[in-house]
Amino acid sequence: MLIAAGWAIMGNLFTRAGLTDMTTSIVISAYGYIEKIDRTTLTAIFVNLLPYMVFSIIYGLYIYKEYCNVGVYVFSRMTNRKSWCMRKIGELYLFSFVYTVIIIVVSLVTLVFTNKIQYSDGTIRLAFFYIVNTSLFICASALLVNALAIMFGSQTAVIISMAIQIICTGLLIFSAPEWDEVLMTYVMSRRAEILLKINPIGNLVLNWHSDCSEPVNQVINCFGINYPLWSSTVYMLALLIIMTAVINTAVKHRDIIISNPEEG
Amino acid sequence: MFKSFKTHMSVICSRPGFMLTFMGLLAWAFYILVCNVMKYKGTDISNMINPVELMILGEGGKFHWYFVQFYPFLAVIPAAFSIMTDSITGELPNIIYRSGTARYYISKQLAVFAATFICFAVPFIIEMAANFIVFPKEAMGNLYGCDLYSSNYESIFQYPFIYFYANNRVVFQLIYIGITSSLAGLLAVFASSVSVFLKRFRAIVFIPVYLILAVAGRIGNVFDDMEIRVKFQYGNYITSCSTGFNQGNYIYLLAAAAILLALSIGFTVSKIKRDCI
Amino acid sequence: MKNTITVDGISKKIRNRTILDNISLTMESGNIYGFVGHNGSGKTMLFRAISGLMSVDSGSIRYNDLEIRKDVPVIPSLGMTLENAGMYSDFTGFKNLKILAGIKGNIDDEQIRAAIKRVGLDPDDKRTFRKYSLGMKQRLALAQAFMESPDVLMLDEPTNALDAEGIEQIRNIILEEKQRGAIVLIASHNKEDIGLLTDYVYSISDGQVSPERKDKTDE
Repeated sequence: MLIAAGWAIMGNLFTRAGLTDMTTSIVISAYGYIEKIDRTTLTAIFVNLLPYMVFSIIYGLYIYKEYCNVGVYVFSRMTNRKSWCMRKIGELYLFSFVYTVIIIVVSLVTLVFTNKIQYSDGTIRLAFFYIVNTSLFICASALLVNALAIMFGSQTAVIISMAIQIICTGLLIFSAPEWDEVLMTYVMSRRAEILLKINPIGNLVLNWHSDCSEPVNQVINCFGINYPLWSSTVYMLALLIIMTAVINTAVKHRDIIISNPEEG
Repeated sequence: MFKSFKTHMSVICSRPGFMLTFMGLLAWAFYILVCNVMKYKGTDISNMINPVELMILGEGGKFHWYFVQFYPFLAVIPAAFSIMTDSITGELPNIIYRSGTARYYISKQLAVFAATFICFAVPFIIEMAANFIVFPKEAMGNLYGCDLYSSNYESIFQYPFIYFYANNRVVFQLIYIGITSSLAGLLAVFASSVSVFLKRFRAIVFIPVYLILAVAGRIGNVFDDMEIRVKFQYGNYITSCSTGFNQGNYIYLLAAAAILLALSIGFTVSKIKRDCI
Repeated sequence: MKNTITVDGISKKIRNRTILDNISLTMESGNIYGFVGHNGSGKTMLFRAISGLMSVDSGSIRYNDLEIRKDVPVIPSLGMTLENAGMYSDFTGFKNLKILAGIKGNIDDEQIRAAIKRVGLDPDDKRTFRKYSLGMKQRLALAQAFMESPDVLMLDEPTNALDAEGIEQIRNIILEEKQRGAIVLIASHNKEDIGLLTDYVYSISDGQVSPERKDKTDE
């Protein structure tokens, strides 16, 4: 949680210091704002994922840690692993939610003291979608790390999970050739839209979305892309459901043969 | 000390992390070579781009962006888990009672640096040799037909280490291989020195290096907007043939490396002074 | 040559808890010293202190003329087994011992193989350490302690998890090491081990050591 708060404060210190007349919805949209896709902005996207990646590494051990050292004593007493696992997933989602809320709240609170900031319509709705989408994503990635750790150990789990996120970020480059035209005409081709919509990292970028609420739409919809925010929510929810199934399978089928999987 | 160092090197180099990273980088280099051969097959030598720009470390190289993003993880995988593995498996007392605490940690850190350096340098050197065999070393394709005031011609002179680029491409490439491999080795030593305080999960070893590089990158994004000379993004330092990046910036890399080294030594020394319980 | 370990008034506290309290001992080559005491009495901590793995708050430990942790970091020729010590899980027994032997470089592959056979294991066993049973792990731990023919042997619960045949084997090895002239220290709860093997027995309680039975010939 300290990392979340630190990231929010650092973002304000380095990027928003000195800016005046900001609105609350612009502050929130800045966490998911990318102008166009080229190598520089892809790097910026990846750097912005830092607090979420750190969350997935740390909380990626939340369920796995039960398998280390005390696994025999824990699982020999557990008659229903599935309900235990679902309870753990619920707790993990709660942490993800709180983590994301901390980033937004700390950011807004510190800006209140350092910059001139005005409340704008649509802030609550925008914050809701940002928090829900991001928390679902980081919960899903933490579950992926947990599942892979249960099967292969924590080191391998983190490598695979980070590799997937880096590759997904890099795949956005395939829609890059379209961006120069998009920036001029504000019209995106169908192919580029699909490439953005199926990519989990693309679904985190707020200004590639639209919304039925006009105040929110004005802030985020820079490129005329018709992709409602709630669609990303459904996408992330589907991702979470898939990861829940994966981890349930891993928990159910993992044999407790060795005392400490971390021994290698 | 040398026997301890040799023993630690043999252990590290026989581990899956080292082997997979080494083979992965080698496979990546050859994949890029094959792609380039297919792409430039039949190209006239006067139009051929310099092979230095086509390799993994070259700014124009295929998947160079991926290499830069993977770099914080690749630096850690081959050897940085070594101390933690000894601790978790319980091998640590068996080694320390034979060599002494100080000798163990010092020889181990040296082995971590050397193994990581070799893991990066050897595939890149093999890649360089293969590229210089297949493609003409002296190709200047992107300057073909340029006049003295063309922007292409001007941009070449902004490359760091332009003297070596102009006179000896092998040395030029070796400089970048040396920088990339040394930086990776130093990051591995830093991660390894932080791991002496960790007891349970290997995955946590990734975090210090990743945090430092990503936070520096974040600060760097801002400093770029302010047009401040100091480049904080590590990607600039391991990218060859990069315009808009001054050779003088490498002094900042040296300063950062000195800080990392001092921190690593500090953590290691503080662990040496503790009991092995 | 006769070697001597002299422990002179050592004390150690960890987080305000006294682990070792003013312990003084002298141990010489060709003898087996037994240490008995209840769980948590400080036997393992005493071994760690004497070996040099752990520092002491006061007092000194000398091996011949050398002060441990001042003149040398650890006892120069030492073999030891400790609780919870392990090996690399993904290497075979032979490979594990080869790695440890490489640190000093005093012995060759044949001597390593002989050490593994001596404790009743197969040096050509392709199974990794992860797949060993508890008894096999214990045997391998003893093999790494004996293999370099050290002048000092410290064995913490040496017959733990061993079958009857294994216990007999290890006892014979310990007696052979004593004959060779090593200083042997054994910490054990097994009264039979203590009774059959040791020349001197010390009882440890709350970090303090007292001789339980000075010499077997007294009986």
